[in-house]
Amino acid sequence: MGRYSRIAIAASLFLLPVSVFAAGYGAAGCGLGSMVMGSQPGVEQIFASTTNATLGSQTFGITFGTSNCGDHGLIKITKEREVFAQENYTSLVKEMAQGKGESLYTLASLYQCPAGSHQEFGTMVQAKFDSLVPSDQTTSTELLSQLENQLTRHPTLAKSCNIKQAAANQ
Amino acid sequence: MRHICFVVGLLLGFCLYPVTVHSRQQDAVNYLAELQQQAKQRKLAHERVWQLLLKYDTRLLGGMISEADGMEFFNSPQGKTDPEAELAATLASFFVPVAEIPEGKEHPQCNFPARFKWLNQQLAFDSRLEIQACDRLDRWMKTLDPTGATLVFASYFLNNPASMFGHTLMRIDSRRMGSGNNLMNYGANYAAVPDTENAFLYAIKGLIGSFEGRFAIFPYYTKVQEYNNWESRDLWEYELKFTEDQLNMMLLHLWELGGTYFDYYYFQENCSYHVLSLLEIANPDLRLTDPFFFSVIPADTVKVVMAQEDLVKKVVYRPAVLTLMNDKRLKMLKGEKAILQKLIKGEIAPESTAFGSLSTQAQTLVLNAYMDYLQYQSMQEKSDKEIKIPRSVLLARSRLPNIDDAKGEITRLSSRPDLGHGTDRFRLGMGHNAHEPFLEWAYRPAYHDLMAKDVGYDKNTEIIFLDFNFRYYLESERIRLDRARILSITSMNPYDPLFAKASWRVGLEIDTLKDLNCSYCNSVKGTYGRGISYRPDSLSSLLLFSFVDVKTEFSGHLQQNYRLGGDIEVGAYYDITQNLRVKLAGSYQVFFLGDSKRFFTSQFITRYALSQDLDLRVEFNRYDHYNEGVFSVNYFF
Repeated sequence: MGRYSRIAIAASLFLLPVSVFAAGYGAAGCGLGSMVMGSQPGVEQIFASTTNATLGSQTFGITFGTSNCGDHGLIKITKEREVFAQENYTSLVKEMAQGKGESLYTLASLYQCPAGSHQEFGTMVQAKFDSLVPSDQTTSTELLSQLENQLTRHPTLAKSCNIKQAAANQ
Repeated sequence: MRHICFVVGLLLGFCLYPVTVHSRQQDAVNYLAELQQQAKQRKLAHERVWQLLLKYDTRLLGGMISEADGMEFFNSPQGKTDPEAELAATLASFFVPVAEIPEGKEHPQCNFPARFKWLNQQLAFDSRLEIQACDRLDRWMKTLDPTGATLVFASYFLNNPASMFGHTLMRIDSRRMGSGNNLMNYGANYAAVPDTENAFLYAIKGLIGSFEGRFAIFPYYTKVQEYNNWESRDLWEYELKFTEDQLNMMLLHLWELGGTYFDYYYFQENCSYHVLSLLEIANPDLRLTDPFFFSVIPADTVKVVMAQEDLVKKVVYRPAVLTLMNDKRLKMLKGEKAILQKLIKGEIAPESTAFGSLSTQAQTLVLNAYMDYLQYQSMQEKSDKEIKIPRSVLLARSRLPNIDDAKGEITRLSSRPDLGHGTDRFRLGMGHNAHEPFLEWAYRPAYHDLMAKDVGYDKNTEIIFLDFNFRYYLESERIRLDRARILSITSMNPYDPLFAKASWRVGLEIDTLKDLNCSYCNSVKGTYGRGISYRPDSLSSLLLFSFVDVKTEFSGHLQQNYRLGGDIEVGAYYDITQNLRVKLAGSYQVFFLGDSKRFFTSQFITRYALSQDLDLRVEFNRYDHYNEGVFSVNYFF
C-alpha cells in the first residue's frame, strides 16, 4: 500500500500553473509538488498510480524540484536534458546498449544533433557504452557528463551537435 | 518665453491632471457600460462559445449550471448559475486597474485569456480598455508553441479489467521540438485527485463525485513511462487537425482551467469528457460531448473523434514494453525462447556458453527481449540501484552489433480502440425450450463480453454491467426477467511461463432457476472463481479455460431459501474465421448446503459478426434436464 499512499501527493503535483490563486510564483505549477513532498531541491522521481482504480483514472507524478521549473510551471529549458535523462534513464541506457531508439534520438535532439546524425550518435554511444556507464551506480547526471565528454571528442558529432545548453532561460 | 511656457505648462498640468484621470476613469466606466449593453443586446452569454468557456450545462429543471466547482473560476458570485451575470462581471474585471491587483496574483485579463480573446473578437475592445501585459502566460504559450494536438488513448493492461475502459489525454505538439520529438511535447491530463487509499471508498467517492478532478500538464515522456513501461499499456495516438488559432484558443482555455477543479464523476465528468470539451473549445462547431448522456467511456470518445470528418490526420501506435518483448518472443525459435526463459529465471547469464552458442542475430534478439523484461520488472519493484537493468546485461548487449531485430511492423498485441464495437448493447432474440417458444430482448450499457468481436478490446477479458434480459413465453403468456447481470467480470490470464497468473471471475446477478421446475422463478446469485487458461501463443485463435467457482443462490423457491456450493467448468473459445467464433463449455454443479443438488450444465454458442457493431448468435444451453436454444441479434452502439 505504500505506493498508494503517494497517490494523493503525486496527483496534486504538476497541476497547471495556478494562475488564479498562486500565492507568489514559487508555488505555481511543478513547484507545488516539491513543496508537498518536502523534498530536497533537485530531481526526485515518484511513481504512483491508482492501478486499483475503478474506471481507470491513472495518476502519476514526478517532482522536478523547484530548481528545474520555471514560474510558468513548465521545465526550464536549461534543465531539459537533465530532467529528460533522469525520467527516461532505464529506457536510455537500454537504447544506448542497443545503439538506437526513440529516447536516445530525443536525447540527441536535445544536444541539437541534426536528425541525419542520430544514427551516428547511436553507434557512438553503443561503442562507448563501457565508459558512459562505468558502474551499476552511475547516475543520469554522470551519464550526461560522460556523454558530453565523448561528444566533444568525436570527430563529426562535436561539430554537428551543440553541447552547450540553450541560453534562453524560460 | 521659455518661462512662460513652463508656467503655463505647469498650470495646465496642475489643472488638467485630475481632470484627465477623472475623465479617463469616467471613459472607462462609460465604455464598460457600453460593452455590457452590447453584450446583452447581442445575447453573447447565450452563445455556444461562452457556454463552453464557462462549462455551462443545461439543468434538468431549466436554467444553467457550470460544471466547474472552484469558485475562482467565476468573476461573479452568481457565475456558476448565471451566464449573463458572469459575462458582465468578466467584462468589468478586465477594467480593474493593475494597481488594485494584489501582489502575486494575476490580472483577470491574464487569468482568463480565452474569455478575453473571445470577447475581444465579439466586441472589438478599443483603447479605452487598457490591455495588460501577461508575462507568465506569454512565456507559457511561447514554450508550448502549439502546431498540433493529439488525442492519446491508453489501452488496457494485464490482469486489470478496470483498465479496459481506457484513459485519454491530450498531447500538445510543439513547434519548438519539431516532428519526431513527440516525447518532449507536453501532455494535458485530467484526473481525479484521490484522498483515500481504501479501494471501496475510492469506488464510492468516484461514483458520487466527491473527488476533485484537475487538469495537469506533464512532459509527454512521463506519461509514456507510466503507461508504456510501468503499466505496460499500448498507447494509440490520434493526431488531430486544428488551425493554429484553434490550438491557441485551446491552450488559453487550458490555462484558465488550471486554476479550478471539477467534481470528478467516473461515469460522466471523467477524463475523456473533459478532454473532448478541450476539442470543442478549439473548434466550437464540433459537437463531441452531445452524444453522451449516461456515461462517457474513453473508447467511445475515440470513436466519436474518428467519426468527425477530417479531424484525425493520422493514428500512431506506441507499443508497450511487454508488447515489444512479446513481439520478439514471437520471432524467436524454440531454443531461443528457452534461453530467454533461463536468463529470466537466473539460471544462466549472458556470459554463459549456452547463450554464447547462439548466433549473433539470435543473441541480439534474446538480449533485447530480456532487457524489455528487466525494464518492466524493475519498474514494478523498488531498487536502490541507479541502473535498473544490470550493467552486465547492458554491456553484453552493447558488444553485439546494432542490427535490426524488429524487421517489418511490430506485431500489434492490441487493436485500435476506435475499431471496437460500441459499449452499449441491445439484443433481440427468439428461442425454444422443451415446453414452449419465447422471445427475448435485452439491454446493457457496458461493456464487452467474450463472445463479442474483440477488436479494440482485451481479448481475454469480459466486463458486463447492468445487463437486463427479459423473455416473453408465448404459450404460457408470461413475461419474465430471465437474467439481470449487475456486474460480471472475467479475467483470463492465458498461461505464460514468464508471468504465471491465475484467471479469475466474479459475478453478481439475478438468474432463473432453470434446473428447477418452478415456472421460471428467479434467484439472486453470487459467484467467485479462479482458474487457469491457455492460449498456444498470444496471437492464437484458441483459448482454453477451466474454473473452480464457489457459488451461492437465494430464492424463495428453494426449500431452504438458499443453496451454497460450487462448480467446476471447462471450456474453449475458438475463432474459425475473423468473424466466426464458437464457444463450448461444460460444468458440474454441486450444492451441498441448503438445497443440496448435483447436476451437469453444458453450453454451445456460435457468433457471426456482420460488422463492427452487429452480430448474430445461436446458443444451446442445458441445465440439468432443462434445454433451450436461442437465436439472437446483437447490436452495439
